[in-house]
Amino acid sequence: MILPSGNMSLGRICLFFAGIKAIQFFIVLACPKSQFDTSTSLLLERFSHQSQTQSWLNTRFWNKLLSWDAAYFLKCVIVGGPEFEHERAFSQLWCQIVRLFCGDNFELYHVIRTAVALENCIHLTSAILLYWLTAKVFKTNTLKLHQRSRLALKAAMLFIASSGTGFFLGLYSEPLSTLLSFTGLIAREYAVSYDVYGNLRSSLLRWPLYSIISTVCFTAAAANRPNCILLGLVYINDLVSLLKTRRILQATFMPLLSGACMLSFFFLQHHILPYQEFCPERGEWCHKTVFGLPVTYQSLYSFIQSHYWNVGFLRYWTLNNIPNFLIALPNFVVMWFSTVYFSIQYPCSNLKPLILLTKVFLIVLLLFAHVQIINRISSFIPLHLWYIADRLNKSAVTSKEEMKGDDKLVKFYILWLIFWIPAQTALFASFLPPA
Amino acid sequence: MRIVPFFAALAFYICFSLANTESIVFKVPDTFSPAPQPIADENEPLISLEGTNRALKTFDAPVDSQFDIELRDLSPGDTFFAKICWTAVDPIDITSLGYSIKPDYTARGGHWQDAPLRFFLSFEAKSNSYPLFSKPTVPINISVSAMRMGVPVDLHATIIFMTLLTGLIFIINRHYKLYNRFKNV
Repeated sequence: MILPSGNMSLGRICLFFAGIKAIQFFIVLACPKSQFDTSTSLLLERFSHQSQTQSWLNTRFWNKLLSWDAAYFLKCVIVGGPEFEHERAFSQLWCQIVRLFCGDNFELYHVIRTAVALENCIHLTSAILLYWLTAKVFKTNTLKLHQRSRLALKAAMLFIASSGTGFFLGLYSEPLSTLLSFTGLIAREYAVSYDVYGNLRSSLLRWPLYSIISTVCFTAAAANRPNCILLGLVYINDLVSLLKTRRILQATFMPLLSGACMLSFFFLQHHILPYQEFCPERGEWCHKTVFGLPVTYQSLYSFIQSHYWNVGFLRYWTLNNIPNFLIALPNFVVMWFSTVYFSIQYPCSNLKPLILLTKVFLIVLLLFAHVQIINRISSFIPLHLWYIADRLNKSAVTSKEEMKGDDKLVKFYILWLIFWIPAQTALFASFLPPA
Repeated sequence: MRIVPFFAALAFYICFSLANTESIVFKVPDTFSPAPQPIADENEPLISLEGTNRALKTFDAPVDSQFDIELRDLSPGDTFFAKICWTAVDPIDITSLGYSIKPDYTARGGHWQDAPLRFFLSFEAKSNSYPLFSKPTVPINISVSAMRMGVPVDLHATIIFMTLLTGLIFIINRHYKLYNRFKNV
């Protein structure tokens, strides 16, 4: 349900998107030509001729978009699949989609241009979907039409100018997961309703929206980026809600079925198929079986993360990682406050699944992951964007003196974004951390 | 002057946290007396800093064995930053990165006393993948740059750019009050 003022808002979203991307591309172009990490030249030599890589535009623009994980995606698209085990940590789905759009031409710069165009289209589409999702989610709540419209517009703009937007210029897979996550959330939102007591209700007539569209989207999002498996918490939350009100049939054929499908696919992708492919020759990971059965208790993804990038419980909690914790801090604080805000200050029944999802996401990230990646991988969760947008709307009608803690926090966050987005774009183009 | 420690801290963070880069900072002793220029041997890996304070060269380093590169024309008493970069598509780890100063016995007819010195950077490229990386050599970029104000000179342009960019954003934000504009969208 796009709002009546939707067309104008969509135009503004597109304009804002074009403006932000133009600024970012200009920053990339203006950045010093020589990157700090000089490995991009080796990558280019591997897949292209020097005469091509050294052209004016390539050295000043396209080559700078190949920092960090982009190298893995580029290799996957050109070669056609993973060569080594650890390359499976990078989305094969995204790689194959880019290959599809490349046609039969896998020349390096054609691949880069195609991937960049596709990534930006997906990013813009996700922003429009977020506008739609926001309008739908807050229709259930008490917001008036014009408030909803402003909330949806601000949320979409915040998404475009988010903390990970520097990475979304090039070949990263996060925007695809975001697109799928938002589509799945929209489908679910249309499939369920809430009674006056805030209890979840669902009609079996809308079963395909829930159990087919949202399930396919969430499953594909998790196949693309394994952290999106947390979207399954939406189903767990719905299952508990429906069981509480004794709606056994709906509980069984909607969240239980959807969650089971999602989990089964994840299990197949990260446990069963890799086991069949690698074991027993691989050793190490193959020995982590459950009761000697031909299935491992640790996913291949988790093993790869642990083995090659030292990801694990509290492994990132070292003194030299303090800068990375500081880089992650703004998003951690804002995301945590968004869960508190929508639980206590502005409680919304239909946001409960996302509150749960955000909380678990933060805990997992804090304890297990390289924390600074929150800046880009949090893009599939919209809760904090709604929190910021709502506080901005509310503070727009209050004077400076009346600004509360939340408003001050949001102001600091926006100011941080204003400086962070260009800085991060420049850091990415210069092949400098954070990754 | 508070900006100098800030950039030194930034450089420290950057230099020691890159994924496809290993780096080392070293000071050439004040008493370092370099060996006279021998006839260049094309097979001998070397990087010369003659007339410059930075240099970058690509080498095919052997996998699973030590690789030594001679660094020539280093100014005695100067501090340098050496970087080893390899592409992420080659699954290797760089280990045992270090430097050594060895006397050039050949210059004094085998006598070690007062023998001129040669400066070497050494490391080992180890395969870390499954299936095992099977190539005998791997292309590696080795760069050496002098440190000025606690920051490698090849990072100066980026730092200046970042400073200008931040300043520009500060001015734009002050003039256009971006937060208020966004709030009133």
